[in-house]
Amino acid sequence: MTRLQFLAVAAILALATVATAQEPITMETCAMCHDDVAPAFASGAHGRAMAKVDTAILDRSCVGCHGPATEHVDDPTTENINRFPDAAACLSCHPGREAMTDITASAHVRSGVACLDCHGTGHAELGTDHLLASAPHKLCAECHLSESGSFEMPYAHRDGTRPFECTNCHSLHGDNRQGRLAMIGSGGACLDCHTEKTGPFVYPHPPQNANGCINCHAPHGSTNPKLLTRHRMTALCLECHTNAPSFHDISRPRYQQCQNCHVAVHGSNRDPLFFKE
Amino acid sequence: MPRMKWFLILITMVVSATGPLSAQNWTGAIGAAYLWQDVDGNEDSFRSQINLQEGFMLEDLSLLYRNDGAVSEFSIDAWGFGDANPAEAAKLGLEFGAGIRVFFDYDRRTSFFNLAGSDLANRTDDWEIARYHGGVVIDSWRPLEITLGYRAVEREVTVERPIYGLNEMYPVGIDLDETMQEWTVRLVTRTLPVRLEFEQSMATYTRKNRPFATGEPAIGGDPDELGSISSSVVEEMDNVPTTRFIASYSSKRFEGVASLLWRSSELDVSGSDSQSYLIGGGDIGTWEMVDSALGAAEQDTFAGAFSLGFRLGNRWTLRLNGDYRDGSSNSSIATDRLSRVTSPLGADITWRTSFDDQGTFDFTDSRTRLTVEYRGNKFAVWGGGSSGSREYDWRLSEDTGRFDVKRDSTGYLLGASWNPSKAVDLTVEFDRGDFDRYIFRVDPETVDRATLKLRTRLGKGWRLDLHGRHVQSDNPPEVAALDTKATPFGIACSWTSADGNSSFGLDLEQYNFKTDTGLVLPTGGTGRSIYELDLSTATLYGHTRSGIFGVSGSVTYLEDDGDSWPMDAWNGRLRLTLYGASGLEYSALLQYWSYDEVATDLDDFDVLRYGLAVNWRF
Repeated sequence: MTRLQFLAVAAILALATVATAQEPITMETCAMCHDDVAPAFASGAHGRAMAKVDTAILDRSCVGCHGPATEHVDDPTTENINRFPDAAACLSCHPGREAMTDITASAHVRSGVACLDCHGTGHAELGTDHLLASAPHKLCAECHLSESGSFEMPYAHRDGTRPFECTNCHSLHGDNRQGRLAMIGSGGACLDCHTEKTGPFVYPHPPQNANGCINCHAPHGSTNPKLLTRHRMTALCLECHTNAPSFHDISRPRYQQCQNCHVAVHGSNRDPLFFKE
Repeated sequence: MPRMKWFLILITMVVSATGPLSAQNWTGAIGAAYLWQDVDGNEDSFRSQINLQEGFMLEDLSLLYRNDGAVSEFSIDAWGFGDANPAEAAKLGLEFGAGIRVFFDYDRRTSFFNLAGSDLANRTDDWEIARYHGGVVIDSWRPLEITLGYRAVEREVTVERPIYGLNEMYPVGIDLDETMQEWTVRLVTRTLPVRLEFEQSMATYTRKNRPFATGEPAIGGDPDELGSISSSVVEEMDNVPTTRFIASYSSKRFEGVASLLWRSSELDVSGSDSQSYLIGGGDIGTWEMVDSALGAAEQDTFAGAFSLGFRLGNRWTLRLNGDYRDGSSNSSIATDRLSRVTSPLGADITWRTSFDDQGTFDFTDSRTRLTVEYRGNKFAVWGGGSSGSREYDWRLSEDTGRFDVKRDSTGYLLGASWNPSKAVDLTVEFDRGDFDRYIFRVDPETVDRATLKLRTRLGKGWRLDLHGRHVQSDNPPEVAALDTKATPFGIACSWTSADGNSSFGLDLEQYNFKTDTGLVLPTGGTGRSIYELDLSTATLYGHTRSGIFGVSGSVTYLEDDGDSWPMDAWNGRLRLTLYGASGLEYSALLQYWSYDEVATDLDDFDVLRYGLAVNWRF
């Protein structure tokens, strides 16, 4: 190949490349048809968050979520555009957080729970934290019916007539946050409010450390006072304590409520038998 | 409350410093209600469960200000303030164009407890907990987000309950006063391939329980009277550091996250408590006891966890999870006890005893789980195994023996899901855990769990969901002969109109639970602890709007036919709304609760609550 031939081929290739290259599709392009949707998105919570990081992200947000739209621009049908973005689209901007949902959070992924099952897209102004499609307790109840039903029990965590939100205790994406207060098991979540049971204690009650509060309490709701897992406290205590002294005559009312004397059941700083708090 | 005022003043100062806010940039809603209630039956029992009262209530306050100026966003969300609701909360947020956010969250909850027909019948609790969380988020520098946070929890409680003294039960009151404060610095990287999060917090805890004599006689009718009871004991933890570190990474083929947490606590207990009793009403003499104590407890906790996910090709996914926790604590106490008997003439005899005690409590927990999943076009199957160990080594007191137990566990799970379309998802899963040895005698030797879930979207707004689970666990007769079976199952059906203006649904739930545990009674004989629930719940709910009228409501019936403590309960709510001009809404509220125990009428109630509400959205 002579030098002239080489230059000719290079020139043809360069021209072909220029000819086939197209302007990137931006929100402005999309807004030519979607003149109501695009501005609403840009001024909404999701659009504003994108613009805050980089206006270029907002400019490319339509194709960022709905996929390449080259074909759609030429032939605008619903067949050649991804109307409902999958997790990959969301994670392209929300990667690497501890709250990942794509691979490690197996239960939600296996059950086919997608990002947009719970979160809004940002096209509508929802006025909720994290663009949630509705209140967390409603979203969770769609699958977790038994747990949701537990809050109807006589004794339950309540905020008056307002539902107690699942997100008060649960981190939904399987994120790896350990309990803030270093208790194991379910105790970590409980101790965010019930700080007096955090410990350490001079005389701890080991089950609380071993299995957390659910050792004795049903956190979602119970038919028993104090959310206990048994109606009779004596039964609850005696299931573990096999060495109660014989003077404990459990047929007498005094001994049917162990906490009458052993007041510091969560741990005592004064007495090994929990007689003093 | 002073802490909240301080925050409000701070927010006001910040807003004022940034210039006037334009009125036209505000959007939001405000709504208030006034409710009356008629109580038939035990009102204390109603308050122990629901804790609603008559009065005013802020239903909703949400204000949002947006501007392109120095203050780009200012928001307030609040609800619950007033006498009618036992909980209230407020959130304030301030966002500056320069990339600085200021936030303040506040919530306060009250709870009440006083039952007549329970084991806990001689106890009354009146709790109030207030939580504050505020901070500044600086995200103007792209590589790093910095958060400076402050958190506080205050509890003010009055408890009335018996104490054991002079061989009898005496009613006392206790004012509990507890405060926790925590300062936090949090750094999050945003531009590195691996996201790193570091949080360091420092907390203080203070607890002062102050008992007082209620003046009521001994519960058993004993002629000896409780003369006085008091305490000057202060329990404090100063400078409790918690360090947390999280690293996470994700790509199309791999996700990984690891976290570490370390915390060190040192508790100091000091002060004395005293009790005095008037023997025979004081005619025979008085007995006085003063306990002075110096106690300490140190606890170090280390916790780590990891979660890895590998996507192998287009079909296979491998997941590996694990966590590790290690805690060790040492405690000591030195007590000096003074007992004095004084005759009516003033002669006294005094005894003085002292004792020192020490304890240790160490535990180690670890668990790993490996699962493999294959995902086809319309189905997925998965399986995996797990192993874990738990070691507890404690000696609560020098008078008790050392308890050192290590427990190992293994387990496996198998599952499948079928997703023929976006409208149907069927999941079944079975898992089993086997454990050797026991930390506590109620620990199971095996746990089997089978789960089934079906979610369907039937089209035209209809949904039908079914779910069921069976869990059983047991251990052998030489341990506790534990036998527990739990079977929750249910069906939910709902319909929502295309425009979202109407919906209704029916949820039916059944929960059967029975546990049977062998007991060793104080007499040395054997017995059984049997607890049974046979709980049925039905909830019907819906809402509709037509023109200027709207109605929403729900009604729930709950019945427990189990042998342990059968009861039934109703609750219902109805809201009729008239939509006026300019975003105004006028509502009438009707709420109903009933509770009926089979064994006794002492804690039964019927409560009708009604009220009016006005809301304005702008």
